[in-house]
Amino acid sequence: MDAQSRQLDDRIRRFIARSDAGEIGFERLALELFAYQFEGNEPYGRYCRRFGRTPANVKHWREIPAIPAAVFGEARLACFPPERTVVAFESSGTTTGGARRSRHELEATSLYDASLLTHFRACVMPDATSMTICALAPPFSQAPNSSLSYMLSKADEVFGEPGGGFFIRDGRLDFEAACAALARCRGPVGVMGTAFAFVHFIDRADAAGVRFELPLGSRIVETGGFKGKSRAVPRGELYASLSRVFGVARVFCISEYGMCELGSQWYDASLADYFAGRRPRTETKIGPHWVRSLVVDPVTAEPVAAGDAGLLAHYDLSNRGSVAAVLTGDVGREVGGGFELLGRQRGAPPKGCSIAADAVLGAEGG
Amino acid sequence: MASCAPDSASLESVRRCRCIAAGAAQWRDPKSWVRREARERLRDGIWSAPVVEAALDAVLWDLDLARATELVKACALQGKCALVVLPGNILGPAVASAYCAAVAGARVVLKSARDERHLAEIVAQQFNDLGAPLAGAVQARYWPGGDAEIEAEAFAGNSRVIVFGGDATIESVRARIEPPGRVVGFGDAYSIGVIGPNADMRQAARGAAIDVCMFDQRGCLSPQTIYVAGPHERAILFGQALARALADVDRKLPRARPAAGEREALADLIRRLSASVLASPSHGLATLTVDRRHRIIPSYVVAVEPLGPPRCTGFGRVVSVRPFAAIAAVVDAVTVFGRKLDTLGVGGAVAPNETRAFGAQRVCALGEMQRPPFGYRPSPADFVDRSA
Repeated sequence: MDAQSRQLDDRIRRFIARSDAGEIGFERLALELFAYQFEGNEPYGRYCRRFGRTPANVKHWREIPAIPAAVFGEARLACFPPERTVVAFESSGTTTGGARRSRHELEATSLYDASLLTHFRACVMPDATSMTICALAPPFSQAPNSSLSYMLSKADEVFGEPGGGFFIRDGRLDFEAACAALARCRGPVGVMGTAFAFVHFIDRADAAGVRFELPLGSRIVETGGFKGKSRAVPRGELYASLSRVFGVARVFCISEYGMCELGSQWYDASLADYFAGRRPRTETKIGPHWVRSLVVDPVTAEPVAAGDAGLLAHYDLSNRGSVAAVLTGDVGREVGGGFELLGRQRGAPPKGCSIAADAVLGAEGG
Repeated sequence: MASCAPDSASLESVRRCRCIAAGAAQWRDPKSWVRREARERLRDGIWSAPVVEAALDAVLWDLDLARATELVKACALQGKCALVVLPGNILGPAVASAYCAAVAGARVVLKSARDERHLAEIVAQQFNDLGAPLAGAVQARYWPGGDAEIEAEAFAGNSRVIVFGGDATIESVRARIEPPGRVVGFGDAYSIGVIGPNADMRQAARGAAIDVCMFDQRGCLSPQTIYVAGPHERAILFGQALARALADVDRKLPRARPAAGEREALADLIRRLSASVLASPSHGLATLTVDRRHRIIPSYVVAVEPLGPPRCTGFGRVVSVRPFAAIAAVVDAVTVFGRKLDTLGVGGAVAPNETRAFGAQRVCALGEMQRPPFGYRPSPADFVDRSA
């Protein structure tokens, strides 16, 4: 890593560590990071020039051009040469019609770790310093391109008590081993995994008549959505099932929102609210203080009026080695202190012969 | 003494061929009643009037009496009854399917898509008007997709089921039909263009623009990506020529009304292309051209990108142009399609052994991609009951 990159990492890490970090500090770092990425990341620099934005005329973090997350699948967005890549996270998307998986390369993990652990602690473990972690996901050693597996493995490494583990092995849920681990827990346990994995677990538990009363203080962290892999279950129904099967109160069931293109994550505010004595906000995603989010118009990419729905654009200082400003395909709206996630941006209109699908199978009615 | 009089089967074949040729001629004649009817009924559809006219000009362009006779003879009237699930993204398969069935001697049910139900009705009416043996051979139907009861009845009542749709749709239909071999599927497929080293750039761009503007890149025969032989600068020059040609053709073949979500999808795509296009050369020729003449939505987008796999946008008259040094590199890049490469549109001279290497279903000149010969898709053979 070159000296400038190392120095930026150090300063961002110090910013992450500050609990009193303010707007001025964020602004200064964001603009400095923009100048660094404009120069060091060729496709991003070209992208910015095309919109007439350069470090010379961008004066506010809100003016930094946000690059669509999908570009991580179309160009190498990195401020360092490929030989310095130590880890590369890839999206779980499929490859159709020329669209490729997103790939986010890191030349060091220390900043990424600082980001994920600090906000994980604030939102998932505001009341504890450690607990048993049971992950319905493969460990990072078995999924070396999965940012989710990295996050859970790192959380387990830093916060995990003995007795937990990873219960997706060779792509399959090891239901019996997970049940045995949960049954052995005598203290609070964090059960974490994708919605897809939880649906499988619930189906198996229902079929076998298995129910848990996890120890007081246990919590569920659902991540990653369904990724088109399983029957989708409405969020309310899934959370009711989680409470029923694991014996965990609804307020202790939270959802994480993140993506491989970003170093930071967002969580439901409910658990942090609960332990802070506030009314738990179950539908509000909160991000860390080193990230700012905007809700923008899908056509113009300009901010929408407060409370209106639009695409989420994130400005994440922990993305030092790639692009800090990322425009997602997720639709949300600003709510007090965070945003509410409303779903995915409607894709391109039906194309090719596939438009006939609705005429036969009728997902939307013919 | 043996009789020289033709037998009744021969007479029926002759009558059938004459009816087919007469009917096809009506579809080619802009003044015919079928064309007038189609013009009137499609007036409020998604396609502009000139695109409708061009599509109908092309649908049976080569089906004359000689061709009909040749095809009827080959099929030996072995068709029984067929169901065709029509696509909604392009115009033409309703008419082409009806005539393929007629050639095969089959009766056919044309199941229209939600957004275009008129052509099936018009061709059914035309067959009745043409009289025996075509009268009554086409039935136009529509039902909201997903009605399991209607679909089960429709699948059961026909010896052949021909489906235009995504691969998942076709698989779903196959899973519901015994034996699955009764199903003919026209699933996901893509087309590309290749510009040879000595091509006339203006002519190639003009041909490509016509292929793009017919159906706005929504069809399987639309050239999603065009590979240009030579250095980056030649691809950039072709991109410029293509943008000019698209602007010109757009005046003659205006784009369709934007579909729901198309503005947003196009805006997203343009942002993505802004990061992936080649750097503009020092002389300032744009590598991303977005038509801004209309306020609502760009009429076309041309992006000159580095050599890589084809970009298949499938809407919005978006064309990716990519340079190549050796055709083998393009063949390699296109392998992502597997067997889904439909048509290869060629500009200039490209050696046959080089075009064969792509494994495309069809090779033609740019400008002809949206004008396949009769029987290309579907084919009369698709209507022949092989179990008979």
